[in-house]
Amino acid sequence: MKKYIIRKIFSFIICILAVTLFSFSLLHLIPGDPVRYILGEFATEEQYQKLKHQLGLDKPIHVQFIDWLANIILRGDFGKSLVKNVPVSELISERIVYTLQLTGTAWLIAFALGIPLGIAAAIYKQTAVDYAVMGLAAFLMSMPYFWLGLVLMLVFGVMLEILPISGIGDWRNVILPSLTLGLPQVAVIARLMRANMLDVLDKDYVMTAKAKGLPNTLVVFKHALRNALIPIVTYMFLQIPWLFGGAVVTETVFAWPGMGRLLIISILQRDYPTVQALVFLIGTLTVIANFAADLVYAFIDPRVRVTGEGA
Amino acid sequence: MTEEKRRTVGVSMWKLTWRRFRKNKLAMTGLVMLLIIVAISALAPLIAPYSPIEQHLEDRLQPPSPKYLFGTDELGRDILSRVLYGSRIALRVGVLVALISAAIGVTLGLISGYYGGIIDEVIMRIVDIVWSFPSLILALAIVSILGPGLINAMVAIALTMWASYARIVRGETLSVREELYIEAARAIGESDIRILFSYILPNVMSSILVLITYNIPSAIIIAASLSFLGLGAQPPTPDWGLMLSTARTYLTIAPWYSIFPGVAIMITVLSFNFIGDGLRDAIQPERVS
Repeated sequence: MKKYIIRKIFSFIICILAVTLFSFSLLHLIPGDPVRYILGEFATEEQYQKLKHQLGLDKPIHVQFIDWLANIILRGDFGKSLVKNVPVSELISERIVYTLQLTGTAWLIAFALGIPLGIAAAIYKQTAVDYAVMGLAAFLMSMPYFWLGLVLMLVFGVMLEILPISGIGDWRNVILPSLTLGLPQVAVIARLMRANMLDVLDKDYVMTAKAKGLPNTLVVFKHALRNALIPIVTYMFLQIPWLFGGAVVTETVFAWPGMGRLLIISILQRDYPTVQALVFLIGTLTVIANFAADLVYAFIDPRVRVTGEGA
Repeated sequence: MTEEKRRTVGVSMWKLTWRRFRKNKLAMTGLVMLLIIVAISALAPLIAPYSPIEQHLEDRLQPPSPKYLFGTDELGRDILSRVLYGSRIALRVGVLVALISAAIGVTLGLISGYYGGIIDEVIMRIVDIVWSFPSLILALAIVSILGPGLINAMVAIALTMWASYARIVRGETLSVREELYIEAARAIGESDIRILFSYILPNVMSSILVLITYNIPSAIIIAASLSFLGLGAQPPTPDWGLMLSTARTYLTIAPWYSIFPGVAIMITVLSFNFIGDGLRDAIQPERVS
């Protein structure tokens, strides 16, 4: 157990360092002269020098890195946006709430629907219930987020006219974007839950429970479910970064003013300080979520707790 | 001997896989779907009623009709023709990206598993990071460096997808590294490169093939997403993602525009997923529940 945790902490630190280095390097990896690339061909020499200074590119590279990192850690300062002329941190903090609202709702939908559907498919294996759930899952997993979003808009916004198509407003505006983000995850979780459940139902201790005459419901929900849920709990954390990935597309489809939309706009406008900040934040979040998943896994799975050997 | 064993003595693994694959209805449906898509992309100039970029400005945003079966877009281009030509881009992107990422991942996985030690440690840490990072975000970060465009998008996606190959190949390499025939190969003086590629690689080919089949549809979806976001294929390319990006603007007045390119993506992705599931079950029959 101790060895397992130490190994995970070590890998956590390495990953955070890698994410930091990668986000810092985004500006420097641009082929050719980054300042030229951002300003375009027709910039004056004065503009050129001004931007070069603003981005800190006139200093040696290790000084740039230390400055950049120190500003983030000490002041939460990611520099100034090249487009909006306000601090990047301000741009992000305006939008982070919207992204959290969207991803949070999608996360709830994913588990609230995915787990029961998966259990139902496993219990009623190879019946109409199973085929319906798995068929739906196959379709949902084959639809890109942006098209699922368009289809939902078309059905509920244009044809039935019961939900707003895009933008923000009251709770009704949240429904379509969070369904768009959540439904493909429902599919993934239902499949995972079904597979785990079938796996566990096949185990000897479940056979024993059945053999000693326990009612089927008790066997399923007390003995099987607890073990089948272990990988799902881990997945609850692992999935968080992927929701942020999906949010980039979903926010663009629904004109939802979150961080994902900001990332796309910033890439298109070559606003590198903002891109670096967002990649840094989402990257750090990814590493933390994975670390949390590792810890939770070790904590809830007795096999890891005792032997230190995790899958 | 069991029935299956008796019938399979002396039959190659690939033949055996095909035999099991053939019995899987879903997998065969996927294969037929894919063959049709490949035929469409090969014959696009013959079967498409119009050129994919030819504009008919007098027929803008026309609903489906006998003249334009899938309707027309904002510049009066025939959506059916554009959807048919779009299959060429999707297939090319999916296959190329999957092959490039397989090449990167397999090479690194072989090196990592065969040499072990510090090389292994470094490669596997990088794999951990790339593997846990949401592909779309990583691809976006790389596109922000390279600049928008279909080729850059493909490079970016390939750079996000190699990690799973490296993982699988490393694991299998570790398990066969100590086998006698590897030792024998070393004893007769075979070079490391030859041992890696002609002795170890054939052992992992089937896992790689399954992974490629799953990666092609993922690559198609991410590429279409990048095009939808304005960072992949650029106009007037008949790319499905790009078409849907424009279709979004005309959703209320031209709903058909949003339907057809999306259905095309879904069918293509579905066909690969069916084949992938069938292939996986055929190669590892003991896993089928």
